[in-house]
Amino acid sequence: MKYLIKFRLGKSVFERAIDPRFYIEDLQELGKADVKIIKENIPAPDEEPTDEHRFEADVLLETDRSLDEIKEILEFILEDGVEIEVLEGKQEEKKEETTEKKAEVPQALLENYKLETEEILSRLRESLEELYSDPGSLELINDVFRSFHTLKGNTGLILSYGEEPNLKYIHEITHKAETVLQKARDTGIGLSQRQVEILQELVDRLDDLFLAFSEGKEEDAEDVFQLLEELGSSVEKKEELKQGEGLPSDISALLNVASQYVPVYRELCTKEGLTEEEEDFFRRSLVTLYKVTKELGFEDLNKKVKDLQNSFGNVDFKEFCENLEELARDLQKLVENKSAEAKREEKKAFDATKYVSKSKYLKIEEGVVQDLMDIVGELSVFKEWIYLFANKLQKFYGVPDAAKELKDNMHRFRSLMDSLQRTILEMRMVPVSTLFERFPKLVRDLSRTLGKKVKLDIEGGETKLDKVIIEKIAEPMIHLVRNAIDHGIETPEERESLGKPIEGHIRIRAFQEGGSVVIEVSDDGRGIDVEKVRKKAIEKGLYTEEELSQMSEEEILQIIFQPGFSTKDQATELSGRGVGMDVVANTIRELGGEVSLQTQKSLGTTVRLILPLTLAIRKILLVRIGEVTFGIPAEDVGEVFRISREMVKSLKGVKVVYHRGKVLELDFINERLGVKSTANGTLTLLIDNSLSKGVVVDEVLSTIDTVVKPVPSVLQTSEEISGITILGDGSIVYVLEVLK
Amino acid sequence: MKRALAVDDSATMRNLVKMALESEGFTVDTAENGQEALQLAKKNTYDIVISDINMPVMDGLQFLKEFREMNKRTPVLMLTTETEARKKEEAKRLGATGWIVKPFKPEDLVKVVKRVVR
Repeated sequence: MKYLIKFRLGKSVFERAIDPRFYIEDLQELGKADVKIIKENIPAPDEEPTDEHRFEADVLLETDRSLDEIKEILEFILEDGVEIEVLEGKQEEKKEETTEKKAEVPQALLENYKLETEEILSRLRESLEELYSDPGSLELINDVFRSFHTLKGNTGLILSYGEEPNLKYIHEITHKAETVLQKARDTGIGLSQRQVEILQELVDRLDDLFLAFSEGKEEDAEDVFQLLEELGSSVEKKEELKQGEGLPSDISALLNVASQYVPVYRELCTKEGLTEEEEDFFRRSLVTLYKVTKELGFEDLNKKVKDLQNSFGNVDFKEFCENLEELARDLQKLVENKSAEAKREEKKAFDATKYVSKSKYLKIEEGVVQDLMDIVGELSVFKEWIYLFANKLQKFYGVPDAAKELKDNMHRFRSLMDSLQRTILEMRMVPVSTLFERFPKLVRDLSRTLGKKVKLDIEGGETKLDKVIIEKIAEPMIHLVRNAIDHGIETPEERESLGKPIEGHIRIRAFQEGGSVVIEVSDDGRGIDVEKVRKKAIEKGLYTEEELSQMSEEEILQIIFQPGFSTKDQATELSGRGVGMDVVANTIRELGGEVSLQTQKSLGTTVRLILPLTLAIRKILLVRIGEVTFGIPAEDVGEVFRISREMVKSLKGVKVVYHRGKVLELDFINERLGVKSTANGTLTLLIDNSLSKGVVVDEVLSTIDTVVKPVPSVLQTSEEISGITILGDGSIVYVLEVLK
Repeated sequence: MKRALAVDDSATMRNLVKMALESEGFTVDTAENGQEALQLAKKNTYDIVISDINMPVMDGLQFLKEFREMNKRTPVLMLTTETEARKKEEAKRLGATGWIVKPFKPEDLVKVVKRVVR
């Protein structure tokens, strides 16, 4: 990539103590940089910046770094007089053009388009998965056809506002796919498995293109033409001939456009005044309708559209709307006739309400939900304060009636608070299918690369989980699936000789179990050889033979989750980099979850992830120090261990104990908290996950699942306290993150 | 040796910053709020200041404002969170050299520090 980076910096950046020369140096490290300093008048370290101070330079940079990476480096000054040009001649021009035009699409329409495209792509992936096992099913073909068809229509609508390279590809792909599917359905011949495969690949490419569109990038998709050709070259030619004559596929384009405009027209006509954007929508949509109706030879309609175009803005809006309604009815009639005539479209596809009805989803920034959660946390502390106040009213202020009334109403307040909290938790939950739907592609790609035959089954995609957790487990899940294909499933030849079905089988399953969600990745491959694990553990110096002889098979298998362990003899490019299962295990534990593994030689392996439903609710260990109860996040605690006081040694003034051959530093937290310990001979230690530090408490009471709230400033008395939680009886417990 | 001032009301965060910078050869002073930090900054000269935004007594933005009134040439990095986009802008206006979004790893901090002080 070649960039031209222009620095035009003045006083304001110097007032922020920025030295632009550092950025030049950083850029020079990225590749070949040709630096032309135009003006360099930088204030001396003790000098007050003035308008005289400037730094101007042009850097011509040749590097393999992406634009985003460069932007990241220049983040702090990017908006203060730094311009980055991508010197790919054409590409740069195009980009400017597209961003300009894109801005003209009404925001609500664009949002709708994006949401629906996501839905369509996800539906397509599902239907194609099914179609792959049953490529002759006309019903499924019809489903897929409809999805492509809708996507094509929607994309065409957005494109009518201006060219956009990604969308043009999307339009092209959906158009061709639709044609082939239509033929497959109408002739009743169905598709070949290869054709379904190509369609799947095309959907993957649509995904890429859509992502590029959403991010304002440009995806090169020249490769799709070959796929499209393979998909059905003979069909394509015939269809193209017909098109000029204005036959079915174009009419359906009109129908699609019309069915989208009509509801919007109707809605806008109920309004009193129009915004500029809305006026613009009228003009543009009428232009499109005018063109399409003319091209297709619908003369009546064409005339009506023309009249409307002329009257818009010149006649009373009400009158315009009445005329528009007439056109809308005509269009709708056309839609209905054509769809009845063609029989093939389900009425649903043109159901006007589908396009008027606002999407069921509302996108909310994650931070806002978090803020809400925090506010509710503070509110519930405030609620406790009101309780205390009610008690005071009763005992000290001598107004027991008022106190009672207040208390009675507080019950209602509490139940409202509870449901508020539950609702917000619900907002953070998304179905795991959002993660699972990536796996069919991954499995297809990997099995192809590794020369294995694999069938993937996914169950329980509707199970809901905190969005943050879903994001965090994506990587580990991908790793597990890779492992299953790479290490687990045998080659087809191997399987055959073992008398197993040639096609290996991977199952991903999610389900809720109590307050947890369990996700299992199972394969029917060769299983993990405990003997090999044992040998490797010795080889890697993780354990001695003697230690291993004391361990059960189960325990030995757990070694896989330790850092730096990999059983495959040769690390493959895909999954054997030695950073495998330990990373998986770590991520899951950090989330407060657990990992377990079951395996049986030549029957397969199941890895089980047990995850909390949400991160908002945490498992807290309740401990007692003296008279006071404190909470400690359970995921911070690696081990609970009791020692007698005599075992504590002093090492350079630090209290320590020897534990498992290691020196463990002790933290007598009660001293810092100003709480008197009542422990006598026996101390209870909570040891952190890396077994390096122990916190001394008097007793472990129990564990609870609870929402930890930020500490309201009035209660902030000590820096050890990281949050508070409220027990069922209304008492407040301080949560200490002393083991982090 | 370069000298840094780390300002944060959270001990964990202060220590994280201290650790990260000490591993890069800085000596690090710490303050728990803006007021403490200002007092230190009046007494000592720092090569870099790293400050949290939300703090009791005197918050990071007020600190930044008052600090910049007496010193325009020492880089100041603000610790922000994803949800504080608006504060980032505000910090820039008040003279912040840059910012780091929490949570961050020590190496991320070092990377950003190296971008503004040499």
